[in-house]
Amino acid sequence: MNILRRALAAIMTAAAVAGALSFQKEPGVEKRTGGWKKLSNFGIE
Amino acid sequence: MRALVIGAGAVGTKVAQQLLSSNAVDKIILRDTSSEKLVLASKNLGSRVEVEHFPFSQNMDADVVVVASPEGTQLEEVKNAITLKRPTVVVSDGLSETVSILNLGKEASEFGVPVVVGTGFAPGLSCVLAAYGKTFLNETEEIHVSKMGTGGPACALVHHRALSRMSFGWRENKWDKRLGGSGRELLWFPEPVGPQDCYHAALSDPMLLHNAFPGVARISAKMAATRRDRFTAFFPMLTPPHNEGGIGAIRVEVRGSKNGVQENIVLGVSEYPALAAASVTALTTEYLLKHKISLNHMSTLALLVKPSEFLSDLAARSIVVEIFEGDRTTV
Repeated sequence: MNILRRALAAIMTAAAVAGALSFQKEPGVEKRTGGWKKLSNFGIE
Repeated sequence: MRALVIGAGAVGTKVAQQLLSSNAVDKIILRDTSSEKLVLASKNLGSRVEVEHFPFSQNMDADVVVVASPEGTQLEEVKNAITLKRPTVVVSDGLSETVSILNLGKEASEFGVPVVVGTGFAPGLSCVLAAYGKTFLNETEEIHVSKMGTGGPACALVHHRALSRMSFGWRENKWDKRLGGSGRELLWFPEPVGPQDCYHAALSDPMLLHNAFPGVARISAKMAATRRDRFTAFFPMLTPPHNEGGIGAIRVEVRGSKNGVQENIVLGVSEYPALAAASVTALTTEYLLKHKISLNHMSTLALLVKPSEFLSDLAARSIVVEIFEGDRTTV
């Protein structure tokens, strides 16, 4: 019983890890990165 | 030159301080119902300030009137200033009172009095940022304003009430009413404020922005709030508000198109709200006194100033405007 439980836990962990990795590698997922930049010149010289 | 500053609170005293330090006026008359505030202000501001305690004189003997008093008292002061034909700058805060003040536009035109409505952090600086954001685009479709933080106790009270009242946004040619405290959206403000949950609230920014830009299809305003803010908004304030809140921020998102390509311009400012409001008000007052604003009716800041020039002058007062620049990457 214990062996079965451990095997099931191992399979579920492996599936979760595989799912997470495949999601990360999924092509076409668009990420937007960037940040705030201070404006010093407003077009006035 | 003499300026009458009505309200010796967090914003009013700072406006007086800035007007004196820039030598825009020779004398300030500071008016408030609280003798404690007046004593404190006169100690800090020096001999060029004359304080006026209740009962106030009926004639506003000044070249310009700055209304920085709490919500509920501004309308009467503006009415009085228009009747006496005094150029007026109204900080403006609460939604219903701002609408009432805008309704005095006809009287201001009849008397030929310049009245600038909305010269605070939001509304005020938010309107100038929206006008500046518009300059990046050929066509503007949406303007969304959000704010975080409060100035003095009067501002904190408006913030508290705004979450329990109906918010008004302009959406497809009509006013769209939403329950205050609804419509949660996670928005990023400039650092150190960062991400905040924002909600619909009874804010006056959409009214002023629609007044300035009637062609924009969607205008909305949201306010950052905590769960406690939203829960307690329906009750009276249980604890007295702070003398002045911490650092706050505004964020203005302008959506539209440039050369046929959809663009979003996101501008923001992170600053103590009372200090930013005072800087905007003092600068507007100086523009009015120096005739940089030529006006003989009621209008809003977004229509009156050149946004780039105004923001540049504000930068000289340490109010720093930031723009969000995003990189689009595909992984």
